[in-house]
Amino acid sequence: MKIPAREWNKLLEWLVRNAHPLAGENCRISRRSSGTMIMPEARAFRFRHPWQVTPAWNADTKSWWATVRPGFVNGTDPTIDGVPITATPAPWLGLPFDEISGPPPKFFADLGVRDPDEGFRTGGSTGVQIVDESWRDDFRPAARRLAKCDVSLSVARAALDGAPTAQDAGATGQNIEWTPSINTGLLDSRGARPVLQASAAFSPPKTPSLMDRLMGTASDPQEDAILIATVYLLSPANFDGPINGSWTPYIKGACFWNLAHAPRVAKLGDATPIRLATGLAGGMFDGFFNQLLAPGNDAADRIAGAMASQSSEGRFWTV
Amino acid sequence: MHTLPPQAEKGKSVRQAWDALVKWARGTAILSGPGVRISRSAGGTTVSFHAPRQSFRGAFRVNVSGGKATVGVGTINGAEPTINGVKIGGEKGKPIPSIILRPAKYDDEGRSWICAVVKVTAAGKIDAAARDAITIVQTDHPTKVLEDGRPVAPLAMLRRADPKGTDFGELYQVAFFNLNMWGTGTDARFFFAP
Repeated sequence: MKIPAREWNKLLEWLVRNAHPLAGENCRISRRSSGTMIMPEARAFRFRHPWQVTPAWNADTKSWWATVRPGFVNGTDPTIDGVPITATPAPWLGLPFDEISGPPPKFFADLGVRDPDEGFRTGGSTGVQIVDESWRDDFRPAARRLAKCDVSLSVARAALDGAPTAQDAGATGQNIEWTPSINTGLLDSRGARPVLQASAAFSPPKTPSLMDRLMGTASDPQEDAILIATVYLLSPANFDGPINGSWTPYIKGACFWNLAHAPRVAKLGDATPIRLATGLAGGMFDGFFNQLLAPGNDAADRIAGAMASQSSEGRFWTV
Repeated sequence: MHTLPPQAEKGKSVRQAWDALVKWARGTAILSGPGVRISRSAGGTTVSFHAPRQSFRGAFRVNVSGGKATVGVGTINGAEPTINGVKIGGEKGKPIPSIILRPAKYDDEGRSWICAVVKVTAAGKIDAAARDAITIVQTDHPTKVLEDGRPVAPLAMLRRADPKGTDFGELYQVAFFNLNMWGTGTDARFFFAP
């Protein structure tokens, strides 16, 4: 029996048309002698969150810089050195790295970063450091160095300061008045727009203690700040020299969503003096406030309540 | 299950083997499964996979196209905002509503905001009885409260590369979640949080 060429070719045409796969959109085809493998393109979806920090080595300035994916505070885009992060071209944030001291995070210790003090221990009561022979280079990964830099966000706000004043109330003792004063220095110079900044080690503004505030010995911070991310730089193995472009950056994000921010008090003009009467002699604020702030003292609760309502410390939250 | 092609055997009819081969070949056709699109031509069958869906879209997803902005479904205190009286997620028999972007509603820096504006009662609560209790507007400042005292939640920001340009600019999403609003009462402060 013969098979006509027409039938033969018809089958081939059919096979090519229907059983010969070609790569279309998002498709990858791999032909092998055993068959053809059809796969979706391995392009996993990545949600690029706000505040994503992308560091890069600048060969011209020989320093590390970063761009920050725009994030918002109360719907407003922050600035970097006065330039909005949504501007085109996007501003660069200089990263002032410092090599870490003390034990490194475990992740980096596993990669060979050593505690600068590792291998030494204090010898008894003499305080002399001696080499700890229990560590031997043979059993450790190649040494690497680690540097870090924190990227943070700051919003200026009015601060509430104040100092006590005393007025002699005759035989009954003294009237002590603590009048809040409003400090808008940073707010005036920088404005209310949030600012992105980088430092070797971020430390959030600390609210002074009640005693410090009453005594006027510590100022209310003029900003609220939040950590956005920590950028680590890992050196090549056994690297000796200053930080350069051969180091590998690692990002540890701390904030992944846009933010809202509000200071505690909107109308600082309403701040009113706190008045207290005491039988103590003048010039003894310290002892007087110590007594007032003692645990269980009703006056302490009264003062704490009054000052809390006149504190402008703000809060961040995600939206 | 598809089997291996039939083998020709000595002594058997060629026609029979050929017919078996044709039958087998028809079983090799590439068919589309879920998420797969195929189109056939003389050169072969083109296989395409639907683009992987974004796994996270979030609430209030703003889209800008043709000078108009639409806002994806989202709620404030469980209520869905409206545009021209139609819920932002759409209503039966009505097209998805959109707001017309106004080139004048940009600040000096070339920024404009798509916001949800809430109508509140004297007690500072959402005026749930009003059909337009929460509406979508375009503003030229990232305000917290409109001049008439209505609190504002920014949903997205538009930024022109050139502040003096006439384009609508690049879109940045601000809100990603459904929101809750609460006020502090007498001092007319309002807060939005997921």
